[in-house]
Amino acid sequence: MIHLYALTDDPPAVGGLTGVDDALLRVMDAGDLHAVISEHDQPPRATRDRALAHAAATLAVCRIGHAAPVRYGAQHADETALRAALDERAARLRASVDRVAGHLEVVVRFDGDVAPVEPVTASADAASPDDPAEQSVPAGRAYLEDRLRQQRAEEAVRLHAADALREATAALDAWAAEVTEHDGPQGPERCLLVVTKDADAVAAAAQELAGEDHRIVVGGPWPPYTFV
Amino acid sequence: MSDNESARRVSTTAANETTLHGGGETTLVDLLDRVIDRGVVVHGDLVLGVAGVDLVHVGVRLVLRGVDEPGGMR
Repeated sequence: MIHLYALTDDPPAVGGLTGVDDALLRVMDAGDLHAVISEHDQPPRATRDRALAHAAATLAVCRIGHAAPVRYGAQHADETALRAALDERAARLRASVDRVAGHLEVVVRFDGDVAPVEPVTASADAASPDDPAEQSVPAGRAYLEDRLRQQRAEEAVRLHAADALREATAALDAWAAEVTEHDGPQGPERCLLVVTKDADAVAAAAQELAGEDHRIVVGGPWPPYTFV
Repeated sequence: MSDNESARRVSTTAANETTLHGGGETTLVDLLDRVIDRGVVVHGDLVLGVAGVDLVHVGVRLVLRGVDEPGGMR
């Protein structure tokens, strides 16, 4: 069973690096690209520790080589099966490698909710429960309207947080080849694609911002998962 | 697994966590989200996918959530 970590067009020297279950990494020739893999007698069961081992190995490969990180969980019976899977999507995989190879990802977000200074109130056209017109509104419609107001309020909070995060971390943008903003598992986040040699400096600069603004949380440098 | 091997695995895990997110829990979720939900997708053998759904991917989500939930497997 083969576990896949990264794809590269320039095989890195992975001698001595280990991955899931401390298996040694090696580079497999796969035509236009090369695959960084480890081999296992049995499929490694998915666990948090193995996911972290995958991440650590992928980061090591991306730091020393020109590589694109593969999502955790890609396992193949043998080299033939892996080559076939890579051949199926060769053009797209090549494009992914071309986009991110030689780069890492630094992430910034806020820790916890960031509420607007002015509280978001209900819509001005929301009727009072004592309003005779409101009393005639069917319960179902009233529920849906209330839900819509709630969603709009939540969206306003989210947009406010995203705007505040962008403003608080704008100084980092000059370092980035690309910046993407989206909703992560813990709220709005900004992901910066930076050249590998600058990644530690960018993360350090982000930590300096976090030292001044304690809302900011910094992740990385990590393999550029977000950009593939 | 022998005691030595178990201790080595714990040490490796701790080293990985320190390298990846400073050993703190704050960004662990951010990292795991990336590892299991982003990055290049290379579909494995057919047994790993049904109707276009990557079972390994789904399986990873279930196991990782199980670890974090009360009484989950560690």
